[in-house]
Amino acid sequence: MKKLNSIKSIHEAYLLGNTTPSQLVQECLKRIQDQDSNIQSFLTLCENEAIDSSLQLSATISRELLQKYPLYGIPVGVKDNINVNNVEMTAASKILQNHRSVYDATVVERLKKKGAIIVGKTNMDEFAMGSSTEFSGFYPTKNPIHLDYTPGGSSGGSAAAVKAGFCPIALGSDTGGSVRQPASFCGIVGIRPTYGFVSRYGMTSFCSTLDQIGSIGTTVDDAFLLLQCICGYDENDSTSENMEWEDLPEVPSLDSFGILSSMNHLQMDPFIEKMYQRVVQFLSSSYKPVTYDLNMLDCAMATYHVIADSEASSNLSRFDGIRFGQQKIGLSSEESYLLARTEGFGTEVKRRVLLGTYILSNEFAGNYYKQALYAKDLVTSEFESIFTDCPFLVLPTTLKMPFKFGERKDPLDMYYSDYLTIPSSIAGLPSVSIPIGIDDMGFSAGIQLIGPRFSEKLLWKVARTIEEEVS
Amino acid sequence: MIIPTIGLEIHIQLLTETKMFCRCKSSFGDSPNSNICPVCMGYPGALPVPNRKAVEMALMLGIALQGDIQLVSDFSRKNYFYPDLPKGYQITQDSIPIVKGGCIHIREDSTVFLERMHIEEDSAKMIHETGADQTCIDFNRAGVPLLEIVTHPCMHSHEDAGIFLEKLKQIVSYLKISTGKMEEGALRCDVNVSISQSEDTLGQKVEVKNLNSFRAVMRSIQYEVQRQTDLLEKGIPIIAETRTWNDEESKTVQMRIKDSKSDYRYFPEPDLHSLVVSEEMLEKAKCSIPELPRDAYNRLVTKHGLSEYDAQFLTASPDILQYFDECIEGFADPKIVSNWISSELMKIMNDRNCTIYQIGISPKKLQELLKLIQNETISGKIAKDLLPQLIQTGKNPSDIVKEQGLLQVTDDNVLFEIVNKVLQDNPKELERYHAGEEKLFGMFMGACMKATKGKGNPKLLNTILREALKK
Repeated sequence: MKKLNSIKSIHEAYLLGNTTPSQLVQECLKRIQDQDSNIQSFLTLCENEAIDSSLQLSATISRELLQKYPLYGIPVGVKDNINVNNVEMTAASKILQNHRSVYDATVVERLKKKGAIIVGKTNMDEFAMGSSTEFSGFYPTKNPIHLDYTPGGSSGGSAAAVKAGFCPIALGSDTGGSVRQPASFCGIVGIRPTYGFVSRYGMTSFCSTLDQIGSIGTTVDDAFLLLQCICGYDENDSTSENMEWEDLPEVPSLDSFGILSSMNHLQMDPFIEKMYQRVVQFLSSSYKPVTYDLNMLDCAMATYHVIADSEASSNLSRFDGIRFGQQKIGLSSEESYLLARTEGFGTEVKRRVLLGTYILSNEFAGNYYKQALYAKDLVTSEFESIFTDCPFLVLPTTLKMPFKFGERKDPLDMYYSDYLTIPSSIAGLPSVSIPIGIDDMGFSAGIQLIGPRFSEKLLWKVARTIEEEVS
Repeated sequence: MIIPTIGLEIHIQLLTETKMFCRCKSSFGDSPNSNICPVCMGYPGALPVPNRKAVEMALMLGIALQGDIQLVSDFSRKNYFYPDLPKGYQITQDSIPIVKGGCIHIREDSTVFLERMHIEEDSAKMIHETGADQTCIDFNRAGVPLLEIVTHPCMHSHEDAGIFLEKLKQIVSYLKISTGKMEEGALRCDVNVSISQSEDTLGQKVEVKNLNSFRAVMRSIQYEVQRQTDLLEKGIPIIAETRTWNDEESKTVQMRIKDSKSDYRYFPEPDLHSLVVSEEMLEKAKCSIPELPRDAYNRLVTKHGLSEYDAQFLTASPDILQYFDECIEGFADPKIVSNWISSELMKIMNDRNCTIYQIGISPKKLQELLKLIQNETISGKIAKDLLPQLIQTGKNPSDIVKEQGLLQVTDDNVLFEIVNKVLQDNPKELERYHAGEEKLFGMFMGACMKATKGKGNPKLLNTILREALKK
């Protein structure tokens, strides 16, 4: 059974009649059945729905429809913090165990309209808090490249599913790097779009200010194609921007690109350093490299955690077991809350909710949060001034290569996994991580391209050039 | 000398069709949990979208009360756990409300000043069934738009507070932004009462809740002032507390002591941008403001020559004023209209507990009836007798008058005969009259009128009778 990896190759096979959407979905489900017991990338499978819709799509398939619907008959994995109507959604938390969605997230509605087939809900760190998928309330996902290693996180299930060939593309969510870091650990492509470009409606909020739904694929084209299908204004999300893919600025003529100075103190992994230099060298052959300072780089992580934990403490208040999820009956409503939340939330979630509650408390009169929003503005304006000068930046996605299960026990060590993905998250900037090289273990280094707001077309073009060069 | 000081916190339910942040119906009295959706139920992934109409209504009241409209105001989260609060936080306005200041004139020489007015969402309704060991929650109310109005502590008597509430209710009903019905919870009021022995200082304030009518507000203030005065005289300190009004026992009872400021962990709502009021919205709100009670009052007194008492009565509610205005359109006797509304129609409204438009006689018909009196087609007495029939049959007054032969008798000959008959039938009285007992004129007049079955034109009859008596 030959793996069909890219959307393009699948559509070609459909056109030639080599396979049909229903055959492909059957194959995907079979592969998941055979192999996912080891990898554990899925939490829920939508077998019946996927088979039903694949049969319909097989019956009506035509060249016109394949052109009109870019995701026609393409199996997609959806991170389990995104609502798919009538399918379980837990955000990998026990507090939502058996909770069935009552509506489609805007991105899911758009995927369905574009002909995509949702095969299942992928595993993640509980409520997207984590960088290894070890904090899933149910089970950790393994890295398909080497099962002793984590796939990264929090969208580890989506990245692993795509890498394992269970589905060619998947949706993730990226708050501080949760799409790019697992994509990098699994040797595939992950995009965090401009904040406000993809509707958050229907995605379980962790940190509203930073959350963005992102796309994951094995190739640059696939990841961007997926993004193209889900982006655009949504009246149900007040933070959504009035911008459609067609309205994105065209790619300017490129003459230079930016790199960051002073990363020496960060103790980057030598292989990542080497791959990073390789990309810089390659780009330098066409464009002039310019070095910039990002003074706020070292403040970014603190800024991130203050904002993220504060908002998480509030966003997760709705999980009280009263209206949905696991209900616990105590002698008073307080006791019922206590039982539901004590049993329902995992350690990392509790840690962040407690921290966030503390940070927002009267004692600091919200000053930490305000201060962090101010720092966020500073990071944003630093990036802005860089981008008035150069069209895009190149940066490694992570400082370290994938780690083994249980290797990062200290929460702070784990938080450092997002060190290089956090800055563009805070600034709301689009970033794409692409895999470069393969080390002895089979892992690739992730290299990020970061551009100004709504520079997705530019990032696509540059990422594709790099992808062609390294393959 | 004891000076009581009173401040009020009022919540007004806005009469929008839909809720504050979702498209659910915002109506009162529907079957429990029939108007709910993922947004107002706080389901994971649901996001708020502000109701434009509610913002317009807030602007209208802000303008009507001469407040300072904030072109940019904030949305904030007020975090606390309670089963009636689906998200675990209420979306409200904290640091910058949509309206600052404002005032209501309660008498010619007395004005109540407002501190602020802000938009927020209502909580769900908890229904405690007596005897049952459970509490039910109706989420229909969750997310209904509210305006919170906070006055300065500037009232000094329960009467002032009562007049203030009446005036506020009158204004919101003129603006058609709320029913202002306290019994339906469309207007809710908490009271802060303190007493002091000098004008320069404020005493310790005590909050009173659970007030379900204007009368309860006034009585609770009276009670609190007395209670606090008694404490003061006994030398017992007044403590910061929240008390609840017990209507049956006519007293306030301690609910809780305010030992420390509750920690609501306010922070800017990250799912919403700041609330920006455009010039266009502001202009639209200004244009939507109808004639307000004070202006209507002045018009009735100066333009229509009504007494202050009549003007007060007619402007008490906007539908009575509108009814009045429709009646006097093309009819030059506002006084008779006013009299009829305040006596005949008011009686029916009280008997049937209905509004003026529910009586079943349109302003056009009332005008027609009054015109029949004015042009002496029928007498005032017959008109009053006709009213029930008009209401019952819905027929035109002139048709009924014709059908039932109620036209006034204005034929000299007919009246002459009647007069002669009456005089013939009462020879003794006639003798006494001629002997100088002139007050018997009234008796003859009454007898003649009776003989015409009330249809005789009083003026004509009077003249003919006088002539006949001269003989």
